[in-house]
Amino acid sequence: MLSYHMQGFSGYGVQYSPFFDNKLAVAASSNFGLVGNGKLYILEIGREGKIAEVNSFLTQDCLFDVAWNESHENQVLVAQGDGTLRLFDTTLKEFPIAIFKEHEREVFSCNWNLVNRQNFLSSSWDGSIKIWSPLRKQSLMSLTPRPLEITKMVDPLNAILLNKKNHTGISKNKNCVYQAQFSPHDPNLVISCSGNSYASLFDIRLPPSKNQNNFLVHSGLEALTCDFNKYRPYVVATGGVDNAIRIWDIRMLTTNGSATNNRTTQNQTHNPSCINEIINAHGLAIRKVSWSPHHSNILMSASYDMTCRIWRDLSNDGTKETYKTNSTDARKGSILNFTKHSEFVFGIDWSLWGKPGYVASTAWDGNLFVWNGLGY
Amino acid sequence: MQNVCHTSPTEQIIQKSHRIQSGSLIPSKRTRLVRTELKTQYNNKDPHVETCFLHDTSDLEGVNNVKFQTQPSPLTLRAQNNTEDSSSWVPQFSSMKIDDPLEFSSEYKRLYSNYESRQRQNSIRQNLPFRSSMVRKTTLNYPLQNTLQQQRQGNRNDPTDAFNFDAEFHNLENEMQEARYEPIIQQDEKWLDQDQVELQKIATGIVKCCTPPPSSTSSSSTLSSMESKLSESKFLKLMRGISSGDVTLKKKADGNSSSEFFSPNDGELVGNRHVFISDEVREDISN
Repeated sequence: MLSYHMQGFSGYGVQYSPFFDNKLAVAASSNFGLVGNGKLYILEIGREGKIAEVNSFLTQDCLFDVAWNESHENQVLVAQGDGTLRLFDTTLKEFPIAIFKEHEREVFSCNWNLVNRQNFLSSSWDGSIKIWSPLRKQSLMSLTPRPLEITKMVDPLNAILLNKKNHTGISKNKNCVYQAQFSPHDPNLVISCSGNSYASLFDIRLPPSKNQNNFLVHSGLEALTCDFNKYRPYVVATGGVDNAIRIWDIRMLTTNGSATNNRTTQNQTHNPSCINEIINAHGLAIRKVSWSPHHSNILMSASYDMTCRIWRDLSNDGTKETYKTNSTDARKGSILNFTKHSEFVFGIDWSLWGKPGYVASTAWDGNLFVWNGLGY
Repeated sequence: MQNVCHTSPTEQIIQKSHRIQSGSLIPSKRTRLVRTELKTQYNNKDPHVETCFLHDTSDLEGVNNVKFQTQPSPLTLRAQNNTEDSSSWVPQFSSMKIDDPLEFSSEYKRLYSNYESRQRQNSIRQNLPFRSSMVRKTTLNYPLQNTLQQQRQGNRNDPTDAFNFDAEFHNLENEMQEARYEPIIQQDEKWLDQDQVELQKIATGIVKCCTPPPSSTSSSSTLSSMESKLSESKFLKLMRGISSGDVTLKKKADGNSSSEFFSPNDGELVGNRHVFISDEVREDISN
């Protein structure tokens, strides 16, 4: 295991470079991201196995996510707390090379399109997802998950919320789009998850009136993270405040089950598109899920319980569906539990390079750890 | 002799039960039946207790014994006055120079006054750590307050402690302390603006959410490991500080929140200092 400590900063997001096997970018914030500066770290893993800082950029506000430019090896994008996105050139010092400012509140996630490599997206606490080109200061498109507008009308969701009396935060955070991602298979597909417990699937080619399909994913509690499977284009995983990881088959989403065209019914809580779930995957809320780039049935999760876990999706054996769920296994499909972090873990990423299984994780303890998640 | 006269088995049972109860001096309508036992007990214990109380005033334990064991309850006295053999108590009381059985002697009052003043000093000493450190420590007094309330309730339910001045005095003292603290808290909170109060509420929510209940027993090692990590978490330590008001958002001269935390107690910076970074964009982009 390799480690690097970011003195005075808490890690929020980490990503391996898509161009260099030993480069990592980490988005960090001071004072646990509550107030203060942010810092983008560009780190390199040396031949002797030590991680060293090769460049860093201090920012005016906290940083919450990071994404490498898929078409430029020296450019890194960060999501900032003041509602801006900033593109940095890692060969330069101090200031960004572009600022993208349209969001009205904190930007919580950013993601580069892996297929066309020409644009990126951002999701924000203001309830919107924006698609950008690095060549334009204005966004190309703005998407708003529709359940944000109709949540008040949806009786079953309100009933669920009333039953969760211990959890009072959702009313304030329901508009927050915690994460959004392009599909790694289709440049026009975007998935997002929000504080209103919905995941939204967008087809950006369609007109706004019918470009989205929304489904309740975490029983009325905030959905904090989502990720497309890298091998199965129709499979996504979500994680949330109910401590559960759920795996969905988006082919089974129907317009009848969608909150877009039809008022949500009680049946929606038993959505048939949920093909697998790991109940109580962690002791506290799940902050991030990420499918392996090397295996179709392995994913990683990071949580507020200060651990990272590697899971095997037992509904698929790597080649075909097994029609099993992880509840059939005594260990719920858990492969490895990484417990070295001492604060909430927010950022995880799989290495694309070398032997499959290496991952990087960063947490509010200011540490970046590089470790072998598969152990073989 | 009297026992022999009472041939009714019921009365014998009652008599036995009263013999047991007499250990705690619970007064009864059937005082007549147990007066012998009472008298015996009183005669056995009284000399020692009375000596402790009257002659060894520094012995607080002796004073407590007096309260619990020889302090005549009004009910007891009333019952005794109503009995035919109440005359047997007269020498006892006359030796204590008590004219009115419902009124304490001047000597007793003087001794109790000394005892009371000593207790007051003790209670102040005990409360010093709370008082001297921080006004907001009143939150720490809640468990103490509950305990006292429970004690108080218990005292009221138990007739033998009708004269437990010690506990009553502590209760009153604590109530006075609370009354003294509360206005200061309100005055303090006036200094917090909306942002700071909101942050304090959020922090309190986080602390509540992440603090395991004291009675909880973790079934798995993962849970206990998580709880130990949470108890050592620097983030939660900061949240506890914000929740208690020891840390809050720093304000700029214009009233806006600055991007730093500070301690209102000593004005010191908490966490990282904020560095201003201008919104410049580099034009010399590498290709």
